[in-house]
Amino acid sequence: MKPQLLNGSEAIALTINRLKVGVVSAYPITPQTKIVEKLAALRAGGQADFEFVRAESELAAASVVLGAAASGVRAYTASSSQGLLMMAEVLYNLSGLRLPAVMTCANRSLSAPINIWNDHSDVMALRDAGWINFFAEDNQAAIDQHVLAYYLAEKLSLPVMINVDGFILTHLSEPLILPTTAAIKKFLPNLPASANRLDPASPTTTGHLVGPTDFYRFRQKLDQDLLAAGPEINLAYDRWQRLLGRPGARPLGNGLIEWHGPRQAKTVLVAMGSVIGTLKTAADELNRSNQKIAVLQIKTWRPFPYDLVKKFLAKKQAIIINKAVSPGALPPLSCEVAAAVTNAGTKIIHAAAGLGGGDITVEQISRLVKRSTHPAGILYLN
Amino acid sequence: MREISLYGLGGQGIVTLTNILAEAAFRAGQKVQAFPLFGPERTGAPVTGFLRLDQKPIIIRQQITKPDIVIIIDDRLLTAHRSYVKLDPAKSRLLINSRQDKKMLSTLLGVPVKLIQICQPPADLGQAANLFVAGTIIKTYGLANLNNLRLAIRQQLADKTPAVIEKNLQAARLGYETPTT
Repeated sequence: MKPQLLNGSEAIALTINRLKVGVVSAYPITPQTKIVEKLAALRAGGQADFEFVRAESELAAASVVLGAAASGVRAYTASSSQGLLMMAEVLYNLSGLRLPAVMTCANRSLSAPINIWNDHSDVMALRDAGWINFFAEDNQAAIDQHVLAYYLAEKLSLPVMINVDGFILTHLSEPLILPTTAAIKKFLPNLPASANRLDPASPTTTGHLVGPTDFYRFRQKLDQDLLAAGPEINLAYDRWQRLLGRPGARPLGNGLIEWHGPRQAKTVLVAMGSVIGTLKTAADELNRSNQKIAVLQIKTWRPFPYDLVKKFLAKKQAIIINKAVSPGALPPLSCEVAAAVTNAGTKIIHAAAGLGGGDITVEQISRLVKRSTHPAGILYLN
Repeated sequence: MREISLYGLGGQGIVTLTNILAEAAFRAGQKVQAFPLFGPERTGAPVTGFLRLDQKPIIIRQQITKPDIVIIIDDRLLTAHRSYVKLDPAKSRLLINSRQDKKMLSTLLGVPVKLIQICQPPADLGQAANLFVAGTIIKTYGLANLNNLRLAIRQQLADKTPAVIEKNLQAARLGYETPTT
């Protein structure tokens, strides 16, 4: 397959169309807009079969997706920032109802002060919503994660969110290979007719009131099923890579994490999303002068790959690059990594970078790695 | 790797210019990465396009602050918005659309005269002036050939009318054929 030059938004929209979704519903917000504009253009131009429901708000768009998914239809939406927050209650309902929806979050900061650029504040506000959450390193990863998302959502009855850094990836053009319809057909079965779907011919109730005993069971099951999704994500990832004829392209990686650099590295940069390419570049430069630096990419944020993170960070210095903070506490990524490496002999340095679209540079990372002392608490890079 | 920064004001087609150059270079067999940097999203605000070209895949994602080549399609950027223009006075080669003389531009930018080239799209090109500059750029820096550029324009402007596409193709050819000063 020959690569073509596409921006992230176009590539995601074209992939969603090839995934044969039945319903797309969205409300525009920067930097997600170009994704849903492209989907609307495909529909208007007769190149798509899905129904495009223009919603009056993100709350409505997510609700349309919920209704479609509950009726057994493959559904899609995308949002960012304040829009994602406005979807919040529906996102919890989608996972609680165990509906297989898929959405893209074109990650952006949260107001106030208002700022349209990238960081991970938006998704972190929804980190406990019970969704599988992927982070894309580049637009090729984003495309592949959208394909995996529908497979996993429908197999596990769990909603899946793909986090794609706003502007940095959504507005960036690079050579990309779109999956063919034939490859998708091989990988993704038709949406199974499930007993858990609303059908006017056979009326049932879903999402009704439950007491503490049943509620406890639902929450526990959702937690256990998300944790158990890790191996499923890896199986799906392997199968998709093999189907595309690219097994072994990234030997120290799977659907959950990827390791870049020498295995005997002394310092490991830990991060998620589009900053990974810059971190790899910094690590490669530093390693040319014998610095022994590696990069651990977290591709799957929920379920969090605790065991793998512990295995790769044991007895090393880990510098965690957070693109969101949790005022008054440790940043979200730092929390999980710190929990993962309990008793593993890991020295942790917490950094916050790229907030509100701040540029993260190789130079900044090199300086950070070379610092001889680190302050207690969080080091803000700017 | 070659790094190119393109500067203009909102509405002048900097994003389109960046994407068309990326497509042309991609067609010429290079690995490319192109992305915009927006200020507040409104007409007249500074807009930057970044373009990286290499023989191997490009993974770095940071903005370009020490470009090999700087394109400025409106010299008002050098006064009102000088702080937006990031360059390396020791190495960045500049192509500026300007009626001012090189000495003045050299003073405004703090770079040696010998790194500056000037192009002047004819006023009657209107909205197609950015494509005139595209022609000048590929000729001056060898990013692609004119045929690569023509195909890139046809692809990137596919949703425009045939008349608009033709006007842009002509502007690109004119830019390609007009020497810089």
